[in-house]
Amino acid sequence: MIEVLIDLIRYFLSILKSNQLDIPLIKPIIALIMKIVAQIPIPYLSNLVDFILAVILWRPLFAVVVMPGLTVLMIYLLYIVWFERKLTARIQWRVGPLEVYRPLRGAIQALADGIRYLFQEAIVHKDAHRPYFVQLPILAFIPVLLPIAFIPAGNVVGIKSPYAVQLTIAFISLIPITVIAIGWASNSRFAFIGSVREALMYVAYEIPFIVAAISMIFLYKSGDPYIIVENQWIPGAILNPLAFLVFLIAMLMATSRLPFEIPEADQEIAFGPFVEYSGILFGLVMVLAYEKLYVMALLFTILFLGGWNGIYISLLGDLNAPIWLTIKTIVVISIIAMVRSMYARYRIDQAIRIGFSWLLAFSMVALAIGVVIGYEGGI
Amino acid sequence: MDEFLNFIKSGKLAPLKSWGTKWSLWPVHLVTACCGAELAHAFACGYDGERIGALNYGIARQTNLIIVEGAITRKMARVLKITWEQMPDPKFVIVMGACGLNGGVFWNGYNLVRPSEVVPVDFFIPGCPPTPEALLRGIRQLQKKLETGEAESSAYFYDLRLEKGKPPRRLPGVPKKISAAPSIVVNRPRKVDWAFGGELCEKLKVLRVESVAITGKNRIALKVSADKLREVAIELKKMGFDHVKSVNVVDVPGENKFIVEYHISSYSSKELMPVILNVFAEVPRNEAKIDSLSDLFPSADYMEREMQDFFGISFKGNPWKGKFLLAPDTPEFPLRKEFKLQEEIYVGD
Amino acid sequence: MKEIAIDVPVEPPKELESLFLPIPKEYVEEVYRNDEFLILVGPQHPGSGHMRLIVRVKGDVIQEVIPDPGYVHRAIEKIAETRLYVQNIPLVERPAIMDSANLNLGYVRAIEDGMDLEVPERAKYLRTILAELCRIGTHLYDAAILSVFLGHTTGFMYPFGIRELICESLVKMTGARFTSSFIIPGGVRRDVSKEILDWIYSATFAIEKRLRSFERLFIKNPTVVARLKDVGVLSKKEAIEFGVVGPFLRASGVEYDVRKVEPYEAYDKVDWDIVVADDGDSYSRFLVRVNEVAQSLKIIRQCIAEIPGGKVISDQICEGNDIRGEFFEKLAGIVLPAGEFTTLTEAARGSVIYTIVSDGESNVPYRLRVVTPGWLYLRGFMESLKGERLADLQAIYGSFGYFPPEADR
Repeated sequence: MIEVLIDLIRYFLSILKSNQLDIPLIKPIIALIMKIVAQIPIPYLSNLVDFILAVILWRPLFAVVVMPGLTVLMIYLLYIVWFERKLTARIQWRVGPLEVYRPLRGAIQALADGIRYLFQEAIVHKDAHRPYFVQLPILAFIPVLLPIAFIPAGNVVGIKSPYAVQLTIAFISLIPITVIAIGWASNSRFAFIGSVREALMYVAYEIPFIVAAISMIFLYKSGDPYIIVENQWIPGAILNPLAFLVFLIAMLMATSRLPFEIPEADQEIAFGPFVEYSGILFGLVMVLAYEKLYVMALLFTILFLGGWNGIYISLLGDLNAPIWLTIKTIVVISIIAMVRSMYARYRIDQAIRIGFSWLLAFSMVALAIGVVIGYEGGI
Repeated sequence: MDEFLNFIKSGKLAPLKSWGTKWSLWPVHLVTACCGAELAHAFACGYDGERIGALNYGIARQTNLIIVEGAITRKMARVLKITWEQMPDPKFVIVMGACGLNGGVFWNGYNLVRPSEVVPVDFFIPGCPPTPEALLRGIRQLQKKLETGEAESSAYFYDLRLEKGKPPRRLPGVPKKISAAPSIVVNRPRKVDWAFGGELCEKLKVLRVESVAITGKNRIALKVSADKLREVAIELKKMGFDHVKSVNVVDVPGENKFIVEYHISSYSSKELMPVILNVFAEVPRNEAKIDSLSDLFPSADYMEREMQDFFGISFKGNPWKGKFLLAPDTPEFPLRKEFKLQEEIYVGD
Repeated sequence: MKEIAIDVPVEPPKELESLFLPIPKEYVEEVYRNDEFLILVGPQHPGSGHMRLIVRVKGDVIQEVIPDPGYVHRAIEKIAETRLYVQNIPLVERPAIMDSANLNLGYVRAIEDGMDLEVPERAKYLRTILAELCRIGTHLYDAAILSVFLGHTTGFMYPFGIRELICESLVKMTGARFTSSFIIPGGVRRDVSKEILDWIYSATFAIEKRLRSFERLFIKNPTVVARLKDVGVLSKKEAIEFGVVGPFLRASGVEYDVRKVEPYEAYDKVDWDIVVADDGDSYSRFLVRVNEVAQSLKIIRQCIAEIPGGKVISDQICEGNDIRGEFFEKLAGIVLPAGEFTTLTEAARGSVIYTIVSDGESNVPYRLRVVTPGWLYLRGFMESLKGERLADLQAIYGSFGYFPPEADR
């Protein structure tokens, strides 16, 4: 019996070992750990540690859990909330969060807010549809987090697919449905208006967004991120600037950021679909838009900014690609954060007009550019 | 409130709870009175309340702090209670301003409620209005209360020792002189140097008014009988007077009458612009009814409703029924003279 | 456009019964029968002040708005009947504390009108400076509120940053950031030194410089223009009919400013223009006030340059030039002659009317009627909302700068 189990573990280990990250920087560290562990007289300990290290450094898992997956996502969430508030504050002649921890210039402010939300009462009000009201904020994470499994960073990839770009777009398109359902489950008039606005905005940005992405797929003649990134010795932003612009604005609309913060307009309809949420449930729905932004920014980086292309540092080995991808993504998001303090909010009819008139027209022109470049032999 | 403080301070996760709550006190957007101007200053770029982790945030469900900005009226007291109940526990209340403490300058008003009677208050900030520094200090003290369980007051009470050998200071008596039987004349004529006024008076005398008097530069008082008010108003509208600036009622219980005044003026005619006509009629107190002018002058509509609230005069033709400005539980017809407010007590009496 | 209706029975939500609506139940039922619904904006709503608007909406279009004011009704008119004339000075400036000097001035002028007091020239100039500082402060406050209602938080911070200069000027002049109670019957409380006036003179340039960055960021911002242009239009006829006041009246094309029509203090001695716009929409209501700030700065500079010397308190009140220490003796006992005294003053948001009715014997007012601009333009505000979209409610609200404590008194 035990032999079978050990054989099974050996088999798994061989699978894991066949697809390990190759990072020269941490090789001596691993060797040191193994050396220390070997001296401890506990049976099977060294095998266990070996197994754990193999699991962590197994490429698919590393891509999903560490980089550019969940760990980076968590750090990014803490960072972006702080960065956004700090940047806004700097533009607005003030300081922003500071006193919570001075040496880091208040960088853990979002952590304090999160802890406060965690220990606050989560109210489910009488008229709400109780099961959906509680489930939906968690269900909404599925379409947000699934694309991370498909987006590769060099050799580090969760699920390798030649249709990764298309899949990511499909998952992103599912998110508004959860938001609309959240508004429905809240059963409040403001949530109702917010849901209707979200649905209208969805219609407004979705077509230009998909057309802009498709134009890039035509341009590179593939939806495979490897081919896309390989071909980008000129960044896609220069090859097809119209698609770049349309994608950027559609990103603002999709993540409901100013000037298109229409479904969650707090001054008009009091956070729209999220009006009744409190405590940790509100914490969950609040980060939804930020996570969506992260996924879209990853896609944006791959399509337009050359993905993980960057200066190769041999010491980092396989870690090069995830690091470059993460850096580019976070720079993109930080630039987007600046827009927030610059613009007022459009009205819903104006936003839809923008979506259906020149955004759609630009995306069509972008599609034409993509087809022409792709037909002419591509890059 | 102790219940919430206990929740924060108990359990194995107490340090985490108190740290998180301390640095994330988000005041709800509940503006109750004029101290809101200083609150806005405290969270704007001059003082920046966000430094200490306080972020003024949308609605009740997502916040944990109410800053009561000054006076709480009877109507607002309900809102305060509803908002407080909508907020998730643990929640805290800071009251800023003298009005929230004990009424401030409005201490004897009929429409004021002490916030501490409505919700449990954690910290009071005095001042009228308190400066932004004082408000931020209040938030810091609430943070301190979350950390140590006790907020520090900046008020110190010294023991005053009475000096011997000095004669006691003579305290002032009541400075008020109130006439026992006041006689009210709202159209006392005055001599002013105003040529156009004379011409205008001649024109107005043709109308079916009882008397015309110049009561000051650019001010003319027209006395009309209550049933002629509407006709006169129609004539005045033809002359170019197009809006009502104020509807006023003076209660004269001694003569058992209400004086209902409409201050009518003009925007469209250049020469009539500075003129304010005081068209007034007298109605008996026990049968206080007068024709409404709100269909002729829509600008008089809300002020007629207000006077209906204040004095119980019914304006025939104004569709609004019920209370407009006052809360359902405000005393009936508070501006009538028989409704007395509490007077100050002078020690010297 | 053809309307498609589905015959589904809709019941009014239960919560509307428990929220103390001032409207009859039949009205609510009628609304829901007509496939419309009611939205309550305020008093606890991120986009409203201390009032409730009962908005009747069909789809996204506002059909009717019923105001529910009185959330900050603090009974100033009744309390004034129990206080001495001078004790009422702090009381009457509480409705709008950012505009305290103008409200204060109107009340004091009513007393002076009754008592025939002559105010010295220097005091008149000081009052003008104070009133204009408060006017700038209020316009900036309203601009900030408008910005935050449009979701533009930077547009909220800049005017409040500039307002700090105004507050600092008021502190230097009067000693208080907001509620100064500096204007008293017969003059002002005390003289203001030349250094302070020079400081304010240079502060006007600092304000102007910072206003330019506000202009770049907010006033000319395309999103702001898109939100405010052609929204909430009040035509000239409507504005007159509904008795709109102040900058909102001038935005509809009526050339009416109390400071020109019936000049008081030093307004007839300085050179300035009435700001008028023709469109009557939210953007012109906003622009009129922006330009009024420039005019106010001009008035302040002229006043400081031309201020005459001499006393700051009338001889009829006090022989010396300093009333400090004998304030109560000189002013507590003032009695107005019998009659009614009405003054019209141009506060920042429009004309404020004080009517004092005196019986000629008491040293408390028999009746004090205060009509503030907010209360006067409320009707026009409600009318301008009809037919606009729900999202425009905040834009129009902000463009009127409606301040409920001022309206409710």
